[in-house]
Amino acid sequence: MPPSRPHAVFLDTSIQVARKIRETPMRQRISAWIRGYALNVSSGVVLQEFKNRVLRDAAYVLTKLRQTGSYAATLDFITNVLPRAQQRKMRICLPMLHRLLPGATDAELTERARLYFRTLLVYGEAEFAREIDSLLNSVDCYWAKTPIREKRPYTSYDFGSKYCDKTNGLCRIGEALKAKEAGCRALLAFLDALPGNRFTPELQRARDALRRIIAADFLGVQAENLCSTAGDLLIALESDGIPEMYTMNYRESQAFCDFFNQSVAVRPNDPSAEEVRYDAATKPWPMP
Amino acid sequence: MTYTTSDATGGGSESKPARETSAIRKLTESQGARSGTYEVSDETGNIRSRSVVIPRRGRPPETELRDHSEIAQHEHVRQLLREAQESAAEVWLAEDLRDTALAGSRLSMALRALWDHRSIREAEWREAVNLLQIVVTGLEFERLTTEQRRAIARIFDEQILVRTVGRSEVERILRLLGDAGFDVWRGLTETEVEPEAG
Repeated sequence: MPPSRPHAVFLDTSIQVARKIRETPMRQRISAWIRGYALNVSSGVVLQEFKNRVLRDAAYVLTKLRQTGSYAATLDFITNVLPRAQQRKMRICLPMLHRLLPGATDAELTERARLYFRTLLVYGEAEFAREIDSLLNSVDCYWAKTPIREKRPYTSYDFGSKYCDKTNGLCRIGEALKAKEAGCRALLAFLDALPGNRFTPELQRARDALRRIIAADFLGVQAENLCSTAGDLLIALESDGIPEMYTMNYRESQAFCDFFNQSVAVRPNDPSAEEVRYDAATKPWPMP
Repeated sequence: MTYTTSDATGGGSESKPARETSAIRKLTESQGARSGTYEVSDETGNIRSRSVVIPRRGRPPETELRDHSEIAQHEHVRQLLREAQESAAEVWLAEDLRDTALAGSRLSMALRALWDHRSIREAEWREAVNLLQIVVTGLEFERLTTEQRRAIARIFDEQILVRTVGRSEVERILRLLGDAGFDVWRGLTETEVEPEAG
């Protein structure tokens, strides 16, 4: 069946995570929606966020399985014990094997979960890249290009760092942003002019970071650790040139997509709800 | 220079000394067939030696048992893989959706049986069988798309699980499953945890 939208779409982190770990109806809706485009595109920073969000959880579950020696105990720990130690609300990945294989004993589920989570850890990044048509990396994120290293099967996995300033100078994000200097300056001007009711804390962090980077003539950008402090900004810069953004996060996308003249398709949190699409040619869009 | 002519069988005309013929007799007078004593005599009837074969008591050594058991298990696994291949082919080729579902059910059972014999195969093979089970468990085979049915058949047609499974074999399975629209992440979900109030 030919795509109903014959152009490329950029899949941001919220979509890439939801299409893998949300409930089945949500996964199915996302898959059906992205099949409607000629090309599915994502980026290095999205991959890096996916690794930190999903695959680190997989490594954590694998560690708990080894510590407890029990699938049931691991599940109980994550859902009942861990929340008591948490200081804030958080989302975490859980194994679902007990629902898929209801007759299995705890010993079998434990073994299966160890095998399955290793599969995800070892092949998850490649699967991420294989499921899209193109992986853009115009901000040259070093950690996105560094694969997860299996040091000891089922036991030890090296994800590298979350921080740009822990790359021994190998992160080239400063040079990459310098090459986009005109775009960065225009984006800063756009964000400066954005009305207060369209502003969010994320957008504010992005604007402040851009101001500091431009003022420093793009030197010392690594110290900003933009991947963790202003990931949305980097993803927006990477998506430049792709005509449409698919996201669950309208609050920031409405500004970035407006600036880059992209249409935006918003996936509501409710799996039964339809996508809402705002075309680049029909502005203004609703307030976030 | 001398030449020798060989006979039709390729042998020369050299004569060999006649081999002594000997007889072995089991001495059953005292213990009947259970006797372990043997007598070796030459053709003239002179006893050349007498030996006692001590019967092995109980089970054969563990290593021998294990070797035989593993050979049998490997053969059984190959048989199960053939059954899985036939079922997968039928999932792909069946024209009646009820036949597709029945073949799918047989395939699921074969995968379950393969899992039961996982201990004789390498870790990547176990991961691959586990992954396949996680992906297809609970699926309604009659609802699979043409691409999905073909992908299942190809996994077994390509004999991926017959040979030693390494990284490239697991990647191949993931590619076939993923390209066909199977959800390899379905064994994972997310939940929200929050600190207890107060």
